Amino acid sequence: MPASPDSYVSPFAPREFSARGAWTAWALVAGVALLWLGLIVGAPLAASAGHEATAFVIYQGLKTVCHQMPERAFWVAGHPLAVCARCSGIYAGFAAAVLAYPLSRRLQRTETPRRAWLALALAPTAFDFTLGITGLWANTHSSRFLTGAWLGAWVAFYVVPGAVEIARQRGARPKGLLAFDQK
Amino acid sequence: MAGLGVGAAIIVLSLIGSVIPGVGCCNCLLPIAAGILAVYLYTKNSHATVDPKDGAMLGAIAGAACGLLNLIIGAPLSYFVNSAVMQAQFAQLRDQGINLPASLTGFALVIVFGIIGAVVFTILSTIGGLIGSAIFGKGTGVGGNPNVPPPPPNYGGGSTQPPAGTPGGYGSGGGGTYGSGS
Repeated sequence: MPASPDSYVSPFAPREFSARGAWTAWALVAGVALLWLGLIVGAPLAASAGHEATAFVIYQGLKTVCHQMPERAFWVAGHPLAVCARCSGIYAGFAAAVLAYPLSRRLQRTETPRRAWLALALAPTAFDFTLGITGLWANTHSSRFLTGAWLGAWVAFYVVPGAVEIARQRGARPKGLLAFDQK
Repeated sequence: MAGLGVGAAIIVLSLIGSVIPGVGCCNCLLPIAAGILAVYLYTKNSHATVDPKDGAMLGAIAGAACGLLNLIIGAPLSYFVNSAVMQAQFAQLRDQGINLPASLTGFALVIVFGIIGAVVFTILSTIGGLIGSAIFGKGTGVGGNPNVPPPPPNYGGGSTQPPAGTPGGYGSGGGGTYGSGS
């Protein structure tokens, strides 16, 4: 009896991906996100604890990606965070969403939301920024942080599946040339 | 090449952001945008499928280009603009009893922080590349494996037969060139 076309397994098809690999990829992303957030919060804490050199290195290292204007940053222990309120929101939202990710969907699923959702995620931040820079509305620390957190949280839904997919590709091996499942 | 172009554009935007007050607020998004843009340009030019691994690689290249250009252009500019401030911070650290090497001057520090900045750029651009592969990669999501070829048309003895004179598929028994011994 001929085999059904549905039973065809390509020799290039990856093996079934283990949950362990997905969890490893998630843990890696979560670790980097928390480390990054730790640096941002750690800079003022280090400065207040007298570790000026450590704080100096963190502040200068993150200067390339943020203006670090003290009046636009949250303050901790008498010193501003290493990035502004909007950037803090983006990174905090991203870290929170990465941590909560396994609660919202299975880690092995690697589909990402449609790109329209990313535009929707960016809209509040763009709105807040545009209104602020044009002087139509004086945005606040809270508005900058919350709109940034909204954006960062959505970004996690594109980054975690990507990391899981990379882990899947790294863990997969071709099954061999005789891959036809003819039972 | 696309990565270098994107890197140059991002650095120019970054420098504009550092000059115009308020615009610099978006600096953290620029390396991420660089990664997304690099993937977009790659897919636009090559029409190739970009999986997350390739996207991350493209993003990392764009970020490294950003960091390199920042080191070449941005760091010297930063030194000339902020050298007095940096020297003051340096003196303040020494006054607090922190043992810094005497050879560590302001310019050396700018170079060191330029390298740290390049690493930061690369990390954020890699994230951008991942996002770019998700939104510009072929298919509805990154989970689809577009590299898996479809089954042969006549696999399993199906009724679809190749036209006469063309190589047959697996098990077709006729007209094949592979292993036909001719």
